[in-house]
Amino acid sequence: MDPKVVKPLSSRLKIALLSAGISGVVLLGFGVATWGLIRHQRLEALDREIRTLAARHPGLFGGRGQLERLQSAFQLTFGEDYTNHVIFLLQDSSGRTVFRSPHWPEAAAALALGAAQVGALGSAGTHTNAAAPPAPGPSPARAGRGRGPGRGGGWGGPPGPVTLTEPPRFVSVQAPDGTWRVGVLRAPTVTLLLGLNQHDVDSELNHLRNAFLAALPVALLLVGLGGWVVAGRALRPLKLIAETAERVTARGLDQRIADPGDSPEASRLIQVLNRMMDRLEASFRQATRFSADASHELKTPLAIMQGELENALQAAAPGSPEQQLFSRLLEETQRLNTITRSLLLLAQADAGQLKLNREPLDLSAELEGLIEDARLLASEQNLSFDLQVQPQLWVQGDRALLHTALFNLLSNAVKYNQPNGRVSVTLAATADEAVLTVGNTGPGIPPEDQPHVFDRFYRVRRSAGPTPEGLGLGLSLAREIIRAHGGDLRLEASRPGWTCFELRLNRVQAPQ
Amino acid sequence: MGRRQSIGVKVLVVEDEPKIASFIRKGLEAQGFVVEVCHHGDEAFSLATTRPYDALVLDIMLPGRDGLSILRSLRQRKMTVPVILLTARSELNERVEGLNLGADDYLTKPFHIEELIARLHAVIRRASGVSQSILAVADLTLNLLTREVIRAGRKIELTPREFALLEHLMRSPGRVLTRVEICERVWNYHFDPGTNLVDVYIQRLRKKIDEGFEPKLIETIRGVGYRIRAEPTSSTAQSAPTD
Repeated sequence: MDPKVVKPLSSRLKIALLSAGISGVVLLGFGVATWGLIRHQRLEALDREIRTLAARHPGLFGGRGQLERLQSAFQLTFGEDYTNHVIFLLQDSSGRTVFRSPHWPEAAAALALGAAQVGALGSAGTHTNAAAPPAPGPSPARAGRGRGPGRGGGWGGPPGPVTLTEPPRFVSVQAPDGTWRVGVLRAPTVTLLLGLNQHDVDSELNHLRNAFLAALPVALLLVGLGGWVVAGRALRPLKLIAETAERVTARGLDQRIADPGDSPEASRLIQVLNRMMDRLEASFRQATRFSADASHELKTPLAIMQGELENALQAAAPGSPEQQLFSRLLEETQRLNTITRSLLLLAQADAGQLKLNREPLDLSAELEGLIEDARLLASEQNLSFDLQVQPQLWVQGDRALLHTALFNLLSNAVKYNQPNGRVSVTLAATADEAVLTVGNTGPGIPPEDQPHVFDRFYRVRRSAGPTPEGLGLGLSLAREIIRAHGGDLRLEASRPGWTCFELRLNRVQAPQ
Repeated sequence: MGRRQSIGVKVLVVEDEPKIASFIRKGLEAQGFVVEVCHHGDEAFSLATTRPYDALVLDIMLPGRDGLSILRSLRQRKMTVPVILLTARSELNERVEGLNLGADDYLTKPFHIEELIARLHAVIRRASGVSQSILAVADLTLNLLTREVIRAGRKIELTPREFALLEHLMRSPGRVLTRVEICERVWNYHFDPGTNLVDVYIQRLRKKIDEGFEPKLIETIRGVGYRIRAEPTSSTAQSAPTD
């Protein structure tokens, strides 16, 4: 009965989240695959470009003079800042650096060759002054200086077709100023490392990734919203059914589910449920009408018996045995009257038609009066009363019926108590309810009887002592009365020496 | 009051159930009322419009014209004869409708014959313009408006419950009221008899109105109930007209 039980997510939310989740995983997988594919293609294109470049310029494999001319050719192809686009490095077969283009990043050769499984380059990297730290942005001066190293070498060879000793390898090298795609091309006498800037490819891929990552949450939100809307539509019949079931509880069996007509599956379910309600209502009406009719029919003979007995009682000599007999018979008639009245009220309550003559009532004051009567009932048993009644608690209710219910609780607390026992009554306010507890120090209700205390005509048999007089309808009627008022009555606890009932009713503002 | 007041008073009882009509007749006749009984609505209407009655006891459910329609027609003809409605149902709407149509009082079956008699007395007195705000027995008077109780010139303080109990006893002087009936009429409790509530309250009431006074007015009828002594000289106190 812990009110803080974690509520399961609504199906609607679950469906929305689930569709968003599944879509998210699928989209993410799709995105990663696409990105990988595009990257692969772009790098292949770059590799092809490196090969083409190498093939177009066999001079790359040639001597220093050719290399210098090549630089001019690259300058023509790529512009003044060609060093930002292309780099190359030439080694002879012993691994010595023959030539290194300006802008060649220090680490690139080692990395590229390491990746291409070529041996160590030794001190080759320190040999030329081309290893100036790369500066962002091209400059004509740099291009001019780039030609400088060309003068140092004496190695030469005729330009011509080049045969590669093994298939070229390509590797991406991370340098401080960016990533280079470097191809390792081995000719019989030299090894050429030719690199193209991978920046364009990377930035394109980054753009693609960023666009995807930006679009993903939006897409997921849309999918989730769509799921929410679709689930809401699909679950609407459930909501209608639940609402109707609630109305059935509150107002009676004549409620039916309205068919929105937008889903054949739901329509069928609604029709079936409505037909079930029809049948239930019919048989229920029959049963309650029977008890209502029966109690009405009983009223007339009872009225006649009572009237005749009262006439006879008045006519008899005061205190005569006849008069005492009539008095006892009248008591029994009265008992029948009470049963009949209770049955009628119960039948009306079952049909959801208990007539309440509602008026604002000061529950505290009404209770005080009833407690006064209960005290008198208790005077023979020498019971003590422990009262904590918060004053001025107002409810909206039928005075006579609430009296019946409240007095039943109080008189039970007296009747089922033990001599010199205690009756404890508390009335307190919660935010919107008045909570009444009535406890007694009686022997308690045996556990096997506790679920039945509100059953009709059920009376707990006492193991010791006589069973107190009663009809066995009081508690069930009391609960029906309280429920008809929108409250509830329950057995809070019962063990030897303590039995407590708790009654809750909605509070209202005190009238002016 | 009591029997003396009802002698010769003509009452028409309209009730389709003969046995109920029969015990009402017996009970009222024992009090000195002159009772006519009729079982059909149409017949009841022609009787009520052609003969002079001091009061009508009218069942709502009748063959022919029902009780409410008879009442409506009577009031439309400006006939002011006091009417007490009887019904098997205690439904509020019916009661409100009946009172709106001009019924003087209303009783739900099953009812106590004492209560019918007491209410008949009340509506007849009201109709004849006699004060009904003071009940008197011997030197004890009870004012329903000021809620003052005076015995032998001395004012007596009563709690609301004690007042209601005394009022019901004094409305039926000389008549025995059983515990059950007192319980129902005074406390409006419908629970099982066997309660000593009434005895306790009677004792308290006795202390206040009988202790130190003679004669003792509240009598115990052993094994039956209680009654207030009917003094033949008592009915003069309440006949001062008002309005």
